[in-house]
Amino acid sequence: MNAGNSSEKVVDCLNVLRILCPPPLYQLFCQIPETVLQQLEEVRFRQHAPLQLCLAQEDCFLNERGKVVKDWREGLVVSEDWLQRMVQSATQSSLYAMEEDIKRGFLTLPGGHRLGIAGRAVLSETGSLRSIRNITSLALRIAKSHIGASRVLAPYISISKHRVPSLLLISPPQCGKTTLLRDLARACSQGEYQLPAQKVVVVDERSELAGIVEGMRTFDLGPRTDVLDGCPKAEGMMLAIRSLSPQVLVTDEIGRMEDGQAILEAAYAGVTVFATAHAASLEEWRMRPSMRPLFEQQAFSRYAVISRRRGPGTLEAVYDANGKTLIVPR
Amino acid sequence: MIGSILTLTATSGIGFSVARSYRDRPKQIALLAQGLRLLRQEVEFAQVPLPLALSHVADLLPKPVNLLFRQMATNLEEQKNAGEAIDEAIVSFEKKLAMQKEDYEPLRTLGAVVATAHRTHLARELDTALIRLQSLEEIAETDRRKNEKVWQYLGVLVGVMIVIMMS
Repeated sequence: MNAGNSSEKVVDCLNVLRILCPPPLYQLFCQIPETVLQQLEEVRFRQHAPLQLCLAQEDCFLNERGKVVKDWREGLVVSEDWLQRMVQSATQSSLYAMEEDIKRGFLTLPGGHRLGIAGRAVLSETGSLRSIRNITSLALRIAKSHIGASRVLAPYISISKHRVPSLLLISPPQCGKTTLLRDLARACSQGEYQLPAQKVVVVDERSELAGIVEGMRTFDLGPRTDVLDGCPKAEGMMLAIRSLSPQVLVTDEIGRMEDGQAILEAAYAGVTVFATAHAASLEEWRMRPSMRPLFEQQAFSRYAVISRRRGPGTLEAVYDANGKTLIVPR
Repeated sequence: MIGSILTLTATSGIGFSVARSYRDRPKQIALLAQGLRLLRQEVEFAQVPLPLALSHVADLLPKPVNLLFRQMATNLEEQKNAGEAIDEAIVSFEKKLAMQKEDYEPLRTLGAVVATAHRTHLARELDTALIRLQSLEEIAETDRRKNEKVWQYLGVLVGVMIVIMMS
């Protein structure tokens, strides 16, 4: 996967940490070498536990002098006060305005970075999750743009001059699906890699694909792309088909029954869908009850399985609509 | 003659100044309550984040109470936590406004919970703050009726007495 501008990534990474962390903690992050920051994928803040840094190939801890250490016993312990301050920074002291996001377990920070939340679940009278209180863990996932990342997929989808086939990217979490999907949307919108230039609509439920902040896109999604920001996937796809006449619909992390139904609607409306789903293999994915109809009705013409065996975004296998292996890259 | 005029002007000025603070206090408490009612609308219906909600309230309120809301919004934008942002805004404005220390207490109480409260909880806290402000406004209004005129006359009369005693 080609890396973008490294110094920009470091600046972007420090910027989100500045927004999130109390000043003394941010100062420690500033002391981390640039080479480490470039590889930083996740930062895990757990109350009364050492601060964990997840890099592309390994994980380590930050100590109280701003040094990156391997031994968790030397890691800086995150205090309750710091964690609560981070929650306040992330929510702009407005938990009431973020209730829907918190219910889904994460907040999206400026720049499209995702902040996962763990704490005490608050249930409604019917037993469904209403909110999370007493937040004790925060998982910051650094969003990165890799222009050119989707080049590896192009040979499998540039099969017609007029239309691209629907594609599902399958991988466990943190293998680079969203990054690939983002670049695929951009490439399709620009008509790169011999793909026909298409009108693209991105249904960005978690504001992660476009990273829209105050109306401005953080990530380049190409010149023919419209973004439905913060819109639930299923509703957004239906809305896009009705009103935006897309040639390609792009959405992240499908999994619910209604997502499947909306994708089938799109497939029968002649719209190409690029989507991602969590699973380790095609077999695993098609066993999910909500996803099985998609496979049986051949909603997708291509499946690409991704791993991080040789770094995030490693293409493991490509299948056709029937699950027949097209290629097994080394 | 000049000394007498200066004395009379000074004592009258003090009297009118104290009377004005009695007159302004209930008005400012009412404006603070109006600000919290607007904030409640922002929280309940628009679900706007707190810094922006406080800015909207500041835009709608008249001076000088709007400056208190503006300062709270500015403090929050500087990444202070909600409690600190509200406390520091109160400290920087309590000498400039006619309200007394206890009049800010509902706002301080709100500051302690606003960042972590859910929508319904926060709406209840705002209602409680409004009830407390209403009773504080009634007390301030009673004080105004009792003291406003007294201080106006007292300033002038003390000045006249000093002038008579000096002459």
